[in-house]
This record gives sequence, structure tokens and C-alpha cells, in this order.
Amino acid sequence: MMKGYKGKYLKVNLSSGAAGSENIEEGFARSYIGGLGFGARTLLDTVPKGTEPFSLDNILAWWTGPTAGTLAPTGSKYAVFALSPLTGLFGFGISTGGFGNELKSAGWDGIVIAGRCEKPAYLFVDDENAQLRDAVNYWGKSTWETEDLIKEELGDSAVRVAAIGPAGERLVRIGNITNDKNRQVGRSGMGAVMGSKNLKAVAVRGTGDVEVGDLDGLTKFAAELNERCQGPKTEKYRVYGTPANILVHNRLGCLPSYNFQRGTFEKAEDVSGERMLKTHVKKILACTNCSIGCDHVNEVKEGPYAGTVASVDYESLGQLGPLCGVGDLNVITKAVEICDKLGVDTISAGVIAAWAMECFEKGLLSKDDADGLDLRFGNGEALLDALNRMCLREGKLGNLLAEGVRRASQTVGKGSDKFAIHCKGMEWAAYSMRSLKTSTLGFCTSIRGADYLRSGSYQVDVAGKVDRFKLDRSRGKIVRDGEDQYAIIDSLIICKFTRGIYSSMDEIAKLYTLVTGIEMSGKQMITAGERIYNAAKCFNVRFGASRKDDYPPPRAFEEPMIDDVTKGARITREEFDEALDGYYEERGWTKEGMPTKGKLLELGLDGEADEVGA
Amino acid sequence: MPEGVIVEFTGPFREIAQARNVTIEIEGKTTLEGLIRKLSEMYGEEFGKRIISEEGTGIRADSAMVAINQRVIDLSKALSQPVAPGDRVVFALAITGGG
Repeated sequence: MMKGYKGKYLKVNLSSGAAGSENIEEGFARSYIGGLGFGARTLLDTVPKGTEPFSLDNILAWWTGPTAGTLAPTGSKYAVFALSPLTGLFGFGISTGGFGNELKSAGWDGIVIAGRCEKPAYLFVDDENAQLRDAVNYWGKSTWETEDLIKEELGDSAVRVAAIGPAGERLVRIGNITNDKNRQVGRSGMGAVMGSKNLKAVAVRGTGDVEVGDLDGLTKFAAELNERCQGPKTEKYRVYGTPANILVHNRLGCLPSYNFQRGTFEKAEDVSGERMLKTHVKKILACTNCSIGCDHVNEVKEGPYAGTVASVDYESLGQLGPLCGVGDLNVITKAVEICDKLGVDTISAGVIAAWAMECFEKGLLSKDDADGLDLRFGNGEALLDALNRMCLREGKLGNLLAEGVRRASQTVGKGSDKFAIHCKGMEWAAYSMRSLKTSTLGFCTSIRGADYLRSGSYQVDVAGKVDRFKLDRSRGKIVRDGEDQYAIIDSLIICKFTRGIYSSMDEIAKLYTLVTGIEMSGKQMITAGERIYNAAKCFNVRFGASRKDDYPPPRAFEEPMIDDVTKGARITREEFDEALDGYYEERGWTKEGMPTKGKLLELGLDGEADEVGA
Repeated sequence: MPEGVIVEFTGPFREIAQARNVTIEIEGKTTLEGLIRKLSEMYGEEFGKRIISEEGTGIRADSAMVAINQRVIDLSKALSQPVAPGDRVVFALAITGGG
């Protein structure tokens, strides 16, 4: 019997109310590891070509990794997968907190949900039992309220709840799922898919144990890893958190501001991590199973937003702050709180709002289009109002922005698509396109859309390993290696903040073997990572993705940067094409970005070789 | 008349120096190692310890980032980098991302 895994998942059909158990075989587990790998396989096996994201045919797959519920540091994560309503491609988000551990303790590696509830309901998984319960009275409630109300109804404050807010209910395409109040399944709109299924929440109570392959070995190794987590490699996360990036990016001219028109922000000091630590951070929290503790929770102490509490990381801070021209930490904290409670992704929300502000300033959105808001850059009150409207689909503006930046720019037209900053329809995270060029390549090849979390390719740019102002063929290998490595991290699923504490992939494989009892080398892990990435890519090809979808927005090519520190920086189409060619070559794909039959067969993806292999 | 190297600090380096930036006067050229030595004399040994690796041969890649005139320095080759009057040098925490 496999260890680490529970060896089964819960299958639920919301339309019929039927629930059952399905087994997970060792061969499958070895090939796809868990988390991202299981999700890629599930989407390939269950979502046919032509499916619409909000249709009955889309599914919602929840997967843990083998490390969930064990001593493995930061292993408590879980992920949710579906055809994304934002990109129309492979969608997923990873969250942390205690939900993943609880699901495992309840006896399940995951839950695969199909169909749609007739009226709002929530799924309660109580160890082996699953039950759909009425959620009509919770519909319209915020993520935080819903969690409290369900715990109260069940009479158990230890139950873990993952819920959507009003945004997911209203099919806002950047809708999140929230658990433990401030942990989110973000990006790509998994909360909106949940809303389309009339599923308000999933609540879990688990009372069982998770057996591991080698308890003594894992205990010893986990202690060693936890010790490393207290060392210098993670000090930056523990003390300053990711907001420390603001000043560094600003100095390097790669802090996106004013909708990516610029790479510096004149009020960077006012919104810096250093300032935030002194004036706003109320406490620093750690997720379940984490010995780092990076979550910086802000509290607004005075002014109109006094009492606001929200976890503020670099991405949220950057996209709801400098990107919108806002230099006030009180406003930014409030903006994050609105997004978290109503249930949308902060990165996407910031990029959409910044695009609307640029449209407004350029006269492409009138005051009437903006429902009377004075939507200029830097107007914090207007930002908060626009976010509320977006989350609730209120008025003309709210309905426009709720569609995501790509669709919104297509609706407005008038050339506004040129500064709709996305790739594959997903809004760009807080890394400059033109002054961190390896990062840009990684954002574009990402299976999920503009995403720093798929390859971490920004790292070579900011570590001086390459000339960040140039691109060439060799960057393809850097991105590909990062993607395969991150695919393993996201399949186990462990926190990327711990990536520096492992000396090699062999050590990650050691962790896997200690947890599962399945022998695995670092090299085999990397092959699994490649398999998983190719599987997700095949899903995108099924839905029409090709080379045309792997490009940054026009601003990256057409508008040189204007900041003193990076003046003139832009990407040429020639250098980007060369780098993309290099990436496809490294992947063993065609020049059109299609996986070849040979590569897919080599990875054991036989069905996909027949279906989409070139 | 000696010219200055403009040094900017963020994160822990700002806390040690208790300043956002400082101008260091040098005559002719020096190296990054020379500049760090000078800053360590000014702010104490902790400054240097936070930047230079235990072996003393490079920069601590796990926790520091150094940029000279917006160019991020490859940390394995950093100490021998020339620094000249008029240069802007940034000492910062290594950039982080992920979760």
C-alpha cells in the first residue's frame, strides 16, 4: 500500500448529488506525483475539447500532494483545477493554510467535482462521509463571513472551510477561493467556476492520520529542513516579507507603475516593505507546517479605513499601489481587504484597474462609462470604488472590469488592447516586461498565462546571472529548467520559499521517498516534472493554444521605457522570437510551439501524442 | 578633489547604516570589495558579514543583491568589480517571489 498518499479521491456530482470513492494507483502517483500533476491529468481525462468554462462539462478538481498531512515542511498546500474562465486554457491556483492537511486527514487525496447544484449549496466532507448542505442563506456573504457561518452551523471551529465570495457567485472571471480567511486559490478564476456550479464552499473535517514511508527518516530530515528554514536563505521572507521587493525593483527600474508605462514610482518609499513593517504590520503569521512565517498582516490604524486588516504581499502591494499610481498604504491595505473578502485575485484586479485608469486618462473611457468615478491614476477612493463594482459586477464599469483585462479591452476597443497587460488573457504580475527580459519569456511560455510562479525565470535577471536587458536563444533552457523544477514543487506541493533550502533535486526526491516509500531519484523527479508540464501544455493545445499565445502585449515591443534608470529599454520582436525558438527547441516542440509525438511518447503521454502531437 | 560613489541601502543594510544613502569619497578607482571594507569601517563588521560569503570569496547570494549603475552584479564575480567615482551602488535584499 502506498504511503503518504491516501490512495483515493472523492468524486462528487453536484447535479445528481451522487458521491463515490475512486482509487489512485501507484503507477499513476509515481508518474504525476500529486498536486499539479494530478490536476493536469484530471483535466486531460475529463474536460473535452469545446467545453465552455461555465458549462456543466467543466469540472473542479481539488488535489493535495503527497506531503500534505505529514511532517514535510510547508507541505500543507492544495490546488484547485478547471478550464479557466479567464484564459479559456489550463486554469489552477494553489493555496495553503490548513485545508490540505484536513482533507488528507479525512482520508482523501482530492475531490473531483462535476455538475451543478440546483440551488446554492456547500459540500461538507466529514471523514469518509460527504454531504451537500443548503447554502442559500450564505449566498452573497463574503469569504470571511461564510467561513464563520459554516463553522457556527457545524458547531466546530476546527473545521476547515474554502469558500467563494460574491465575486465568484457573480462569475467575475478573476474569482478566488479563500480558506483560513487570508489564504487564496488565486489567479485564473477557479472561484468563478465554483460559482457557476452554485457551490458556495467546501468544508472538511478530518480525524485520521497520514502514514508515511519512513517515519524516523522523515522526522530527522524534516527537523534538518526546519533548521535550514531558520537560516539566512529565508531571513528575507521571515523579517521583511516579499514587500521588501518594492524598493529593490524601484532602484532597478523594474517596478511596474502606471499600468506598466513606467518602471519606477515616485512614492516607492511610502509604500515600501521597510515603511510597511514600521507603520502597518500588525503581526507576521506562518501557515500550517511552515517554520518560515512570511505572511505580513497589515492593520490600518487611523483615518477613514481604520480597522482594515489584510495580508499584503509584494504582488498585491505593487499592483494595487504603484501600478494604479497609488502611494498610500492605508488605501492599498483596504484594496487588498476588498479583494480578499469579496473574493478576487489582487494581481489581476490591480492590472484591470490600472488599465481602466489609463483608458480614462486617454479619453477612451468617459466619466459616464466609469459610472461617475474620477478614475485617474493615484485616486485611491476611485480605485476602491472600482474594485467594489468589479467584484459585485455593479453598473457599466463593474460589468466591464469583471470580464478581465483582455475581454474588457476588446469591448472598449479604440486601441486599448495595446495597453491591456496580459498573456493568454491572464493579467501580468508585478515584474517589468522590458527590463527583466528572461522573466518576460517565462511569463509568456507559462501554461497558466502571465505568471512568475511557473518558472521563476526572473531570478536570473535579478541575480545578475544574465544581462536582463537582452534576450537570446540560451534563455530557453533557463525557462524550461525552471518550469520542470517548479512543476515538481507544485506537485508535491511545497512552498517555493523553501526551494533554496534543498541542495539539489536529489534532496527533494529524498523527501518524496521518505514520505511515500516510493524510490525516486532527482533525475526521475525532473522527468516527472517534464511530463507534468507537457501534459498541461497538451491541454492548452486541445483548446487551441499555439505560438501566437506565447507573446507579451504590444507595450513590451512598441514603447521604450521612459525612466532615467532604464531609459529606452524595450523588447525587439527579433530577440523575443529567437528566445522563444530556443525555448521550443529545448522542449523538443515544433517552431509553432506544439509538442511532438516523439516527445510525448518519450514521456508516456501516449493518448496526447495521438490527440495533439505534431 | 575626490569624487563620491553614491551608495543606496534597502532592507537590513538600511537598518545597519541607519541611512537611505550615503556618498563615499574615493580617490581614483576601487573595487566592490574595497567599498564594502570602507562601509564596514563606517558601520561595523556586521555590514560586511551580511554581504561577503563566509569563505570571503564572493557575495552571499542567499541574502544580498548588489547593483552598480542599475546592472545587477553576478555575485560569484562581484568582489572584483571596479567601482569609480560617480557610480551608484545599491545594497539590497535578494529579490523574492513565489509562495
